[in-house]
Amino acid sequence: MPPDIRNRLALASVGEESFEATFTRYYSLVYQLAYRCVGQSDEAEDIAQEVFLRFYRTPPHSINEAEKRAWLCRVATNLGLNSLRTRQRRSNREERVGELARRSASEDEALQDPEQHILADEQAAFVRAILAEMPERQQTYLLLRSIGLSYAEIAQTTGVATASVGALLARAEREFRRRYHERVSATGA
Amino acid sequence: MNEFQQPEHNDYCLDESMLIAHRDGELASDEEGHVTTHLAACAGCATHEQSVINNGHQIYDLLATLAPSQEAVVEATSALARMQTRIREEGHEVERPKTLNPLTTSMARRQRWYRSPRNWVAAVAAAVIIALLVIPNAGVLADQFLSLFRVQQFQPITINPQDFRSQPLPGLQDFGTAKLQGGDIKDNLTEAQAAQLVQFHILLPTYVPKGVSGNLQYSVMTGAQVAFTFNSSSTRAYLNKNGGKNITIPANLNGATFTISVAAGVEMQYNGSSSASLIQHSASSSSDTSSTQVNNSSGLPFIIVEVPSPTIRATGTATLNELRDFLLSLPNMPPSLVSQLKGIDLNSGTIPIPLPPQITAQHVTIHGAPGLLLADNTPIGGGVLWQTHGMIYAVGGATGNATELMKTANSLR
Repeated sequence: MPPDIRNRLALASVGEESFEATFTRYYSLVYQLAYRCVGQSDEAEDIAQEVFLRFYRTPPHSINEAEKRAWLCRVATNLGLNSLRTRQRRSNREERVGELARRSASEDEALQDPEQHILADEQAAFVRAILAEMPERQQTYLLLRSIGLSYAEIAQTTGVATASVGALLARAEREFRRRYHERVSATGA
Repeated sequence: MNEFQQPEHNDYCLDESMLIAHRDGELASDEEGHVTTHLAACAGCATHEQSVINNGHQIYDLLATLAPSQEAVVEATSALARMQTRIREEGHEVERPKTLNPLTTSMARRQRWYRSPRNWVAAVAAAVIIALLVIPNAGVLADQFLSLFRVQQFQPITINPQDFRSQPLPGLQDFGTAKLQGGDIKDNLTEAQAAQLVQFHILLPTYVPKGVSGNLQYSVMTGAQVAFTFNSSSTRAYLNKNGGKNITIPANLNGATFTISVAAGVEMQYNGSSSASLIQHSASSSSDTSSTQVNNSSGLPFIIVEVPSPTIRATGTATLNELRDFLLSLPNMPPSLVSQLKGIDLNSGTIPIPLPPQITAQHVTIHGAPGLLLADNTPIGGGVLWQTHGMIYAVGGATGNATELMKTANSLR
């Protein structure tokens, strides 16, 4: 359960910097957030590009580094969850198969156990489907926490008080568990 | 009780949010000390803590399966190269919305009651105070003497003027003193000037309702703070005059202070007198033409307001619950109003919006955030109000066309 340490490193504050420096610093964080929402590398990259394009075209005014990071996380999460909701309305089984088929040969070669990888993909799709059914705010809290944001960072990204984050996470975790167990019971998994 | 409900515990035990914050290492040192001491002495909470830890492992292990594999991670340098190519090919520049000429006068401007700083700040303060009063029991806020509350969403409640014909609702001044700092309004600003005065990115519409035309005029409401202090003597005087002689004022309410803070916000109004028929700005998506055709036939009044969500800090000798219970027990408080207020699921931030019967309210979703679509039954006007990411947005004017209002709200970029 410990948050992703690599993402924590990406959260270190810096001073004023160029767009290129901002992009390089936060691209991984934004991409990770987008990927966790959509589960497809090409779509996650499109979302990440869109996030930074918006940042480039209409940069937020007079914000410090923490606010810049929060802005990027917020837009990435919004776009990612929007995409997830849109896609979840359709049957996504074919998409998952298509995604697997699109994997490059080099990726496949890198897999030690393709069968295990497919199972992991199905597990991720299962979790993503649960997430997609949850209220948007709860999706956001879980996603942000799962990539390692602190309560203060989650608060800044979502606009709630830091003191409220524990309670909001508690509610989101309880809802996630309830839906997970409902699905497991329904599918006999 | 099933396994997804919190176990029952007494007033001294730790609630789940506290245990989760403890699990995540997010408690302040004094809180951490209190929790650790309690866990050492309370078997029930220790069991609950273990359950919270186990559940956390399960949940975040499942969520970890969403992470991209090593092979699926895209290098930032190659992604940046693609981004730069895309920017060059599409000819994007770092653009700002065009500066628009200020408005000289308009009918709607004269009608804007909230242009008085005191009215505006008082409205915010009153709304937030109302929200405070109905915060449900327990939770992370109500049992703390020091609390922070931020408005997050809205819930309409119906106020029937007939109920208050013989007895008007009390004002804040009846229960204590309110001190205002800030809250000035700066008019006739350019967009660039307005942007410098606020701490957020100003969103602009790519669509406005038919009949709305002209340039945008910018005004900024500077940050403000209202400190309201409950005063038992003032309250007793009010109660004695209004049939509440028998009501007991809890002693610890005296001196309780609530400080409502709101950062600078912007108000934009369309100037119907302008000949401009094309509003251009760069906030729209990369795929569109960054322009919006505006009908210029009648110049209906229309405004857009963007304000950071107010926060309220409660300090003093009384809990929020005690204050809430006292105020909801006031004489002549209509039972239907009390019932509505108590029935609201505030969810750590819902604020009630009092509405007269002729105003209809409908829950809507704008940019994925919950909001209210308000319309006059006549209909002579309407608006949309929503909150997202720490900001409150409102669009509205002399149009009751719900479709047009929603389209405008959703076009903010």
